[in-house]
Amino acid sequence: MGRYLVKRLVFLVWILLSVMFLAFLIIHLLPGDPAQAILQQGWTPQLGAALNKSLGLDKPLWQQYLSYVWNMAHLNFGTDWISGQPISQTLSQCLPPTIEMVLLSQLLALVLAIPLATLAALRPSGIFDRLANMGSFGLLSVPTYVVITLLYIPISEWLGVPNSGPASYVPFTQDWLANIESLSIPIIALSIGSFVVYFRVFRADLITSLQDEFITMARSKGISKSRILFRHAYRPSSVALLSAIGVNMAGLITGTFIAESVFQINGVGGQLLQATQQPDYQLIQAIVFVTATLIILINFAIDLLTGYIDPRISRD
Amino acid sequence: MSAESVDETAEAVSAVDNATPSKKIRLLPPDAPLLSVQNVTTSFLTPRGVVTAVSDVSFDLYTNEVVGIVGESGSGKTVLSRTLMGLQPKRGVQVDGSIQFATPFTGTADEVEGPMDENPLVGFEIARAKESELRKIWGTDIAMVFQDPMTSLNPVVRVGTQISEGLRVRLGMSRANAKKRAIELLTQVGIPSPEERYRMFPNQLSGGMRQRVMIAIALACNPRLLLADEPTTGLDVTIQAQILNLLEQLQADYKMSVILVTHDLGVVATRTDRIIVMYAGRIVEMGTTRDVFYSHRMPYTEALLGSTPKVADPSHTRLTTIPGRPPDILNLPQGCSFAPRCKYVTEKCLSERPELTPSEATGHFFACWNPIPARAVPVASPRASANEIGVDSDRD
Amino acid sequence: MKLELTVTATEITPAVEENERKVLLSVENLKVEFRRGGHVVSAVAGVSFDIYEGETLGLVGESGCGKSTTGRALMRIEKPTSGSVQLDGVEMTKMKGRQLRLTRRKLQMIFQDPVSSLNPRRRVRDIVAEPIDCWRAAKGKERDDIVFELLTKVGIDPRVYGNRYARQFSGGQCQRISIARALAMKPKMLICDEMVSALDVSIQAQILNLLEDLKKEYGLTLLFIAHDLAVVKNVSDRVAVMYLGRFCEIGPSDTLYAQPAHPYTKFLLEAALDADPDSPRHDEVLGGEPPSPLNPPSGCRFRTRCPQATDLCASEEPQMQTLSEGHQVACHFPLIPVRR
Repeated sequence: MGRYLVKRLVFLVWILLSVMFLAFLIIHLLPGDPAQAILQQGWTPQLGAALNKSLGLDKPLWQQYLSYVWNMAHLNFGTDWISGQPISQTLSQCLPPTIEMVLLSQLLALVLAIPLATLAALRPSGIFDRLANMGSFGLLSVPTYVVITLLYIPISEWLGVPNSGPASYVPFTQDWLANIESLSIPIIALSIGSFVVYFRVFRADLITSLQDEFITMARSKGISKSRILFRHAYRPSSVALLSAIGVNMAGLITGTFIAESVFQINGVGGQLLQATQQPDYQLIQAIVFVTATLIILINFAIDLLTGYIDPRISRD
Repeated sequence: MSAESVDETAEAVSAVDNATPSKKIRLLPPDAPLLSVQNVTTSFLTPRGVVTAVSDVSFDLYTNEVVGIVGESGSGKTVLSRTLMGLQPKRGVQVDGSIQFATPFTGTADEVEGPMDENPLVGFEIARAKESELRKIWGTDIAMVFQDPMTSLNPVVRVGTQISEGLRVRLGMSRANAKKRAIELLTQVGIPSPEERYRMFPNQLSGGMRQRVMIAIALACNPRLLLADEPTTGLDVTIQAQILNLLEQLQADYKMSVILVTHDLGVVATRTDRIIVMYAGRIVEMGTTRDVFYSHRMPYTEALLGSTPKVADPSHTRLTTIPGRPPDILNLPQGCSFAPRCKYVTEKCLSERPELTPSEATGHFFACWNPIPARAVPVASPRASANEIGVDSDRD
Repeated sequence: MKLELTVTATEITPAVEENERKVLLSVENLKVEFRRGGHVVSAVAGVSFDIYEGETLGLVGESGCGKSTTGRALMRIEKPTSGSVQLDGVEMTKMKGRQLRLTRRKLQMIFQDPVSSLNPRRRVRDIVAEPIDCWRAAKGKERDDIVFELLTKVGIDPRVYGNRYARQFSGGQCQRISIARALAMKPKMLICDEMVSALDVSIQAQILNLLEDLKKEYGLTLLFIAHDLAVVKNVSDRVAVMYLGRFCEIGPSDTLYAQPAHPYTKFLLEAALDADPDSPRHDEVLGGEPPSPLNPPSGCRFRTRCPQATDLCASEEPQMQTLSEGHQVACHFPLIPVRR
């Protein structure tokens, strides 16, 4: 396990550096003067020169890269020259609702998918399995935003959340109940797509695992059905589920963007869209770096968990 | 649909058995066989129809006895061993006949019909038991060593946990005691530095070690019957010798009965009391090991022996071959299943199936219309008979 | 009784003929190494042997001893790290491209898993004809006649089965088809790697007999690699025993089986189980398991499991020494005396 951890850590550092480099290129690969790209219409020769000086854009490229890496590593994103706000402030406003939505929707999807997949897998092609399969396939073929629009009013009534207009986001630190209430519908909407994937992946793997010879062997020891399920079948079946979660993370960013625009929440997706329309390259750079880093870190955690769950991966 | 109706009938039968607790229990005689198999047929209900993998198998197995079941692929030997254990899934599989396992009676005298013995036994009907009932005898009374330890050990559970699990769940041992016993078992099956191995995962062990772990798991709860399904297939010769010697020694130590299922006549030649030869789902010959090897009556047994190369034979010894290949169980011939490959075949063989008939020697049976004449069986060498001490091979 | 066996064996392969026979394949100090995560695994650690024209050399050993790698290195499926392999006096290890492919026609290999070594979506006829088409050796009716003859020879009726797909055949039949394909280019030598291990006993006997017949008919030379000692003895004129990448012993089959000189050979033979209730039982079985080829023992590779190992075995690697005509052993303390 130790060697595996070191290997994964080295990989993590390498990939983080690559992401940093790619984010760095966003500004420097643009045609013309970087200052011009940053300031867009607001560019004047004087302002450009001032910006170059303050951002160090007049220095040699390698020096710029080093100071950029140094700043990013310290989460020091500087000031946005278009809005005049510190970029870290913009991020601290738009990140929390997005992170919360992603995490809670994943939690909800898993909490629903695992027991339902288990029920389906215990009797493959039984009535429940067939119904669940059909239902999940139906959900998979309908785009999330259609589901959101259709379910918006019934769900909000069922939850007792105001449905007259877009819910206003309440920070978690302010009132946690109101916070969850304000995000409940987007979370449900986001969880649907993930739920379908997790349900199908886990069901398929569980069915295979339950047919494995080691399950017959465990039965022959005379241990209970639930013990066989939890101790012997769940672990080997969850490897594919974990990697599905990891892959899903990247896609969720687009998912939140749709939910954010429907529910008018100031999240990362919306912010990125705004920044692209401007275009505000400094903000794009910062958002790309932060979201990529988060996705990488989550995947790193999933890698470690996979290694723990399946020793064949972490031990040789 | 047919699968479910079968399921229901099976459950209905067992429900009748359970619903009458007032009925007195009939005890088995003290010298009853440990396992009594009567007319067992195992069929798989597939979309293409009913496939019968084991047909009409009957035999008795006594305490302390080692019986070999020999057959080629498709002979039904593995299906039979799983059926005997009750491991066949209830859905889609139909088991007919009776598999009676003698279990010690632990109830009171007034539940019993007639006088109580000192060591009373009752028959546990494996063929019709529900999984919840089978769980009470699995591991503690009847255990199995599976063919491929790579796939039959859980790859993500530590070896030690897999051994101590049975001890904790079935025998109610504490975590510490179970671990102590598991390490003892690992030592017993010849695994060096058992404390270290206890914490390992199956993929960290060699093939031979994994099979030793399988044996430790099977022995954990002291079973009275051990079913070993091809326990050495895929292992190297020297490791095979180690494992077979280990099984033999443990059989004596634990006073178990053993059913050794294999395709390899070499494995059963010196280590069994009796041999059952299977072909296309049926027993075609059954008798003491020496009778089967030296005075086989069934042409298939003869052909199987003739086609097995021996280390003791000079090189370039021409092997006797059996033409054709084992029949497809989906499409069995009408008469004797071996008839199309048999050199003694007659009209009768093709139209009428021979039943198991007794040979001259006690307990020797064969299924053939034109049997090979019986021959004198050479007396066992002193060494071989020493191995059979304590085993009454004349029982039928 | 065993002595008699030895006598008959020497009668079958007279010593005089041994010297006159032509060496078809000559292997000198062959080494095959693999890199695995910064470590070097020497799967074959320097083996030398000759295969005479028309003979069958059996190669036995337990899994991981390097017997299959040796066979694959001869075919150049695995690249030898060093050493020399000469086929008909022509060095093969340095060959490249077309020259290698041309030479490979003389050597053919048959693998363990017959079902997966044939393309399931091709017709049997085309599988057997593939090498012929590939080398444009024959066309039209001539080609079809060759295929017809080959399939008939291996016991597959081409009129009935020729147009069927490989997936419709059982393991034994697939192995017959593999043999037919291997014979298509009239090779001088066949390398059979565990070719009957996956088959049922009755089918195994059919294939072994078929191989003996074809060998006579086509004048083939065989390298027969297998773990089953009885099978190897049955087909081989000479047998080599391998342990952890090295040869322990090589000799005429009957001599070697009757009077093993290397302790490992003796243990191996004692562990083999004959289908005979009165076959001798040996209580002393070889304990332990082979050490990892990543870190082989110094000196004699078998010394860690050998009951008679001494300090000499740890310090000095035993060299092959001759016991009798064609019987050689690599052991400091062979079980039968060395001829001076």
